[in-house]
Amino acid sequence: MNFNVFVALTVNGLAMGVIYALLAMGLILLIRAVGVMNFAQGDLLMLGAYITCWLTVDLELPFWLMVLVALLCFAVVGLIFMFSVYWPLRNASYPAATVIATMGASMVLKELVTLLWGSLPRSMPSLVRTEDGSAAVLQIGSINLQWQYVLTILVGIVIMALVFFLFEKMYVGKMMQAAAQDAYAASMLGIPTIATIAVTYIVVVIMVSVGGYMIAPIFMVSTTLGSLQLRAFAGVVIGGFGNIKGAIIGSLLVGLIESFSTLQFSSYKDVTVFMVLIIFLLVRPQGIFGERIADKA
Amino acid sequence: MVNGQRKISLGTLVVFALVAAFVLIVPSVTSGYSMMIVNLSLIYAIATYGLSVMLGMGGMLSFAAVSFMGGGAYWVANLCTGRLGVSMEPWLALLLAPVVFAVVGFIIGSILLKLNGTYFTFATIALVQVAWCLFQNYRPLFGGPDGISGIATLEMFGLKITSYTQWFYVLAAITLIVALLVERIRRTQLGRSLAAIRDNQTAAQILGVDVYHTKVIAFTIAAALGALSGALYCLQGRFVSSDMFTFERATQFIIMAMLGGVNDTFGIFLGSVLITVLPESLRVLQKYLKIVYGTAIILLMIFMPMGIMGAIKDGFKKMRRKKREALMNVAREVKP
Amino acid sequence: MIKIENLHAYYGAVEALKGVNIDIPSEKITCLIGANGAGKTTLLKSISGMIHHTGSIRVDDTEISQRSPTKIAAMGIIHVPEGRHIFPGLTVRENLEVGTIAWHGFFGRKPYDAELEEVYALFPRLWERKDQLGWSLSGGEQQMLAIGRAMMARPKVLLLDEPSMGLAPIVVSELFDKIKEINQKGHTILLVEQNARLALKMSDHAYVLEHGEIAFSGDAESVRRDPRTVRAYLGKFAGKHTA
Repeated sequence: MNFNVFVALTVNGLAMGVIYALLAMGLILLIRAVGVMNFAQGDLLMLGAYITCWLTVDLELPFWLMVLVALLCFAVVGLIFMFSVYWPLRNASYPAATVIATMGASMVLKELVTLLWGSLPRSMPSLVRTEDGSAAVLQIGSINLQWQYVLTILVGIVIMALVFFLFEKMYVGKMMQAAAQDAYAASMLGIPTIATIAVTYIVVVIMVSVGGYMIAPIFMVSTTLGSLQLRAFAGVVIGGFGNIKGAIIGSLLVGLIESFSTLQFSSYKDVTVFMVLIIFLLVRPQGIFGERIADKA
Repeated sequence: MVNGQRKISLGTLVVFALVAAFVLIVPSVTSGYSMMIVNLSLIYAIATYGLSVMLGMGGMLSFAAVSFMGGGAYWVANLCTGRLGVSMEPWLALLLAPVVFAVVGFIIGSILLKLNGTYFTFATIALVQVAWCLFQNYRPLFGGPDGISGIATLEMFGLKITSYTQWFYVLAAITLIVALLVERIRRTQLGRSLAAIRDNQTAAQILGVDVYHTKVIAFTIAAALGALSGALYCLQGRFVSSDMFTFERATQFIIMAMLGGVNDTFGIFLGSVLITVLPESLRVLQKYLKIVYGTAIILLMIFMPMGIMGAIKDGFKKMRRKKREALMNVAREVKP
Repeated sequence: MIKIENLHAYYGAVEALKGVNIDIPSEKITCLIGANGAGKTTLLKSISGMIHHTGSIRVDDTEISQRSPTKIAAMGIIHVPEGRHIFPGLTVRENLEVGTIAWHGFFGRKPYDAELEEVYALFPRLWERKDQLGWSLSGGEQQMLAIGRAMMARPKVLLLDEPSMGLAPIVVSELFDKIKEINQKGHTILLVEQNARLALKMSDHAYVLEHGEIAFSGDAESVRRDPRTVRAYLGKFAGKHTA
């Protein structure tokens, strides 16, 4: 394998890994905040892709305006999602009920985008384009990299850093963590739990929607984007359930494994990733960075 | 029925009546394509019964049913077309499918059930993905994206089962047997152990339940039923391809189970029929169908997590309680 | 300081508090004793706004009975729940920081170093463990952390729910000394305890709660001597055999 191919595969793998990491980080945040596995996570990413596609391609908004409107839309989506799927079920007696409700939400989201924008996959132009509109390529020495991949990695890292900073360093973030760890005590101290949960949902939706926006030019905007969440699940488990650091690293690893396995057998890359997952589950179920505090840490 | 023997409750009679009506009426009002849809719902019901043993009785969320369905289907497909140089009578392949996959299920279950709760669920998701990917790509065994066709016709007791209506009777009989089997399991030691594990695993362990082996047995049963379902699917449709055995399909089974009532034998049947048949008959609303469907599931989880049958049983309980309270109030007033 | 009149509280159809009247004088320690299920925690939860109730709860003549927990905490009435409920995934310091939300506001940079100093002075053990995660502390340390966290909220009134629960006697004794110290700084305390003997020893006033109603009350010393106390603590039938 020559060096160019190695670099290309690595960049590709990291770009996908970053997307999975955004999904995974969002999953963990939601599990911590409300204790529920969100099976509609990938569909939220898909919705983000569709919304940005609509704003960019259909409405042809200038970039800065698109970003503003998109963020607003994402916040609204987050609130709607929380109040329809989580809130009514927060005291549910049957534990699988909340998870299954997210499955229902997944279906609704998929059909909603098909209703609004048709069932044909839509294409989205890359962020950095050549004069004729096609995807631009970054050249470093003899290596050719797709700009979109590079940008995905950069944007993804920035977002994850921002969210990390919000939760771990900022005062507000610590309030939100407290509310996630013990809602009862948090209310007693005066932390408005509805607000913190709503903010968590909004942050998560923004994270994955931006991921959808970055990945759209590469994958095309279609309902299959939703299935990316399965890789994120794998990343969460491999990295160590409940641990954000682990989820990110696990997801990056999944992206790399997926990318490099295309060398050997392009159509079996799913098998490789999930076999690795199964092996991890059997040999080291707590993942790479297994934590003592499970789930609702 | 009278001499202190087990009484048959009104509920059971109603259920039997409904089932009998179903079997008698349906073939006379449907045929062809519609019949096939009904048949499909019965096939799905069999797989969902397997799922209900895991989820309803044991409280374990498993996505694996689809993969075993695929196993059973491809087993029959390969043996009944002579692809691999071996040929077998369809009825034999059908009978062997659940047996073979019970063994496979036992082995896989023994490995996967060392994991707990959510980890186990993720492992089953991984299993589904791996299996689906293999189904879709490995041509020698699974025919690749085109699938396998040209499967021989099932012949039972000298009669060739060719029309969908004939298939209906076969499937109805098998589904009924499976349903009775599952109901029987619910009342045995296995069923009670599973319920104990579902409600409080630690307590069950302390009480002496062999949690691990009980779970493996449940998984094995689910695998066998899944394989049976797949084998029937393949024989009825005479074609199999990997699109059938996806993660989305697994989700559909789970919803079928929850809709009717994951812990109610009639509920499973009800859920399967509703989820499979309704979309077809509501073709007019095709565009909005899935949104209605998805919203209905969310509402279902909010208001009726134990499914339709659960809600009905709850309703009866409330009625009985109100009757009791009314009687007690009368008694109180009568007392001097 | 806190005047409660005709308080009723329900868990579904079950009436847990059946018309309770309590006066909690300011800057004193008032204790509430009673058997399990008498309604002690329910009473605290009513004051802090955590459960639905009817009746009047007045703090310095301000009616707080239907206010939200957030507003009640902002008024300086801080409830330390039974079972400690410290945040396991945050460090000791972060746990304390979170306590300031009652007066701090989400954004903004008001300092709380003075409050931290005070808490560390009160509980030196917390200073030693300030970077340790909550789950790794012992039961006694967690209880100190819970109280310290409440102190960060600049409380006027501390509602303490069974602080001695699950702790070794020597730890309890140390803890109660600290509670007395806190009271001497001017904070009003309402102490709910199952350990009646200890609670009565350090309190100024006492109420005995039985089946959702106040059985009797008075200053702590006379309540301690009262034969009815034994009965209320152990339930209706215990006295019968010794009488």
